[in-house]
Amino acid sequence: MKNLKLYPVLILFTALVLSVLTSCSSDSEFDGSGEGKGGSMARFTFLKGYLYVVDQSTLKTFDISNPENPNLLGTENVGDGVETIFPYENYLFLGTQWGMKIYSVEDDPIPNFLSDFEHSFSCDPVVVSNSIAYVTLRSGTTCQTGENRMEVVDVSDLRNPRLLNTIPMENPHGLSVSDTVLFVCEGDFGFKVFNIKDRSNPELISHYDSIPSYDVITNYGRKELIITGRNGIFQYDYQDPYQLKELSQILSTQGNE
Amino acid sequence: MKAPLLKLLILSSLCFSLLACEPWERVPDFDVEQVEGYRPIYATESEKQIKTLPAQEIDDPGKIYVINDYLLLVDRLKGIHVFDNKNPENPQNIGFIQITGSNDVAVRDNILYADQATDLLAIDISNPENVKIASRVKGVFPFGIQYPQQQGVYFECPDPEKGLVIAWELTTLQSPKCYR
Repeated sequence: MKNLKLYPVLILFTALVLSVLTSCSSDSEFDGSGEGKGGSMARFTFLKGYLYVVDQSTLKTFDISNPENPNLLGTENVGDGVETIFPYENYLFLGTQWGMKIYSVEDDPIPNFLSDFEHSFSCDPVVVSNSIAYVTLRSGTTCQTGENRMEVVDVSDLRNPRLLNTIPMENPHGLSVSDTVLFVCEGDFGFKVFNIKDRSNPELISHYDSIPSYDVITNYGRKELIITGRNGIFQYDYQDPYQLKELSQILSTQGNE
Repeated sequence: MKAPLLKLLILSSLCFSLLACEPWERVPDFDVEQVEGYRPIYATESEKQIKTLPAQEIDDPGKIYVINDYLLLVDRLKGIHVFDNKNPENPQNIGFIQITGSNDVAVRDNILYADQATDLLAIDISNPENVKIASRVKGVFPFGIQYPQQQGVYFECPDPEKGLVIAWELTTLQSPKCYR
């Protein structure tokens, strides 16, 4: 009799344990909802629900409302040597070997050419924040005449970009802006942190020369920085940009050697 | 005097236009016979499948992508490492999505978009342990990454008939026709 009375309690207890267990497991379930964020070296980006892809010489627009059947809406010829694409407000900024190109998707999902900011032959990603574009130009064997530098370009008039400043660099790759801080990957030369309180005049805060870096993503909300390079993934807290705090490292085969 | 100059101009503009259309140059037959260079390794049937594999070590890190608490890292031409990055002080390597021939990635509403050589793939990742191709748009990218990462090297021109290039091995080549 005593045991029988315990049954409902036992059942309740089991149910409770089960519910806790399942809620825990659903917590760790993969969440790929919404839209993610790529680095500045990306060739894919979303804007207003469309997927934009750049390859060597074209900019393609895909209607992805039905992922089972992505619909190629248009292919714009954008000239040779397109390297990267960056979304900013209603605009797409293309980093090409010849310079930066700005397209608008304000009125139509098919991008509409606005302007071209040309420089010497280099490889270059671009990021934009507060109407200022930061463009890195890197030399390499395929970009033989290229110089290593960063250009600061005023894009408040999207049809007429204006060069504000040029900063010499070593071998710049990806870059990322977070508020008043700018992070630039310098390839095998490490990565650099700039103060851009004065938007047109980046001031070098620090140079981490032992972390080879290729691309970077900043998480604005958490003030966290994710850097990748041939040695793996390195994460930092940049609450205090003058004193980055290392959070973790995931080393690659090469980084482990 | 004028004729050679004109020739030079035509030649250089020809070279230039060739350079502009292809990320590599064709080398003339007489240029080299036996030389060190790169030979393409083509994907096997099993490597061509899009599937989830157990977590793997990072080999050749490429582009990164963040979606919610997850961090994706492209391993060039092999696929995508998936990290649970809820706690950036202790990221967990939770799996690898094999997409042979891939370099780029973007995620929207549980669909991962990636390139596979010349195709665009939409992959349903709502169950990351068992990813599924939602669609494949063929021939979107004219070249794919059909040349070695190294520059200033000879290589055997890839043969599209043989399928996807997944890696390049350094070896001795006989009269290679490609250079970059």
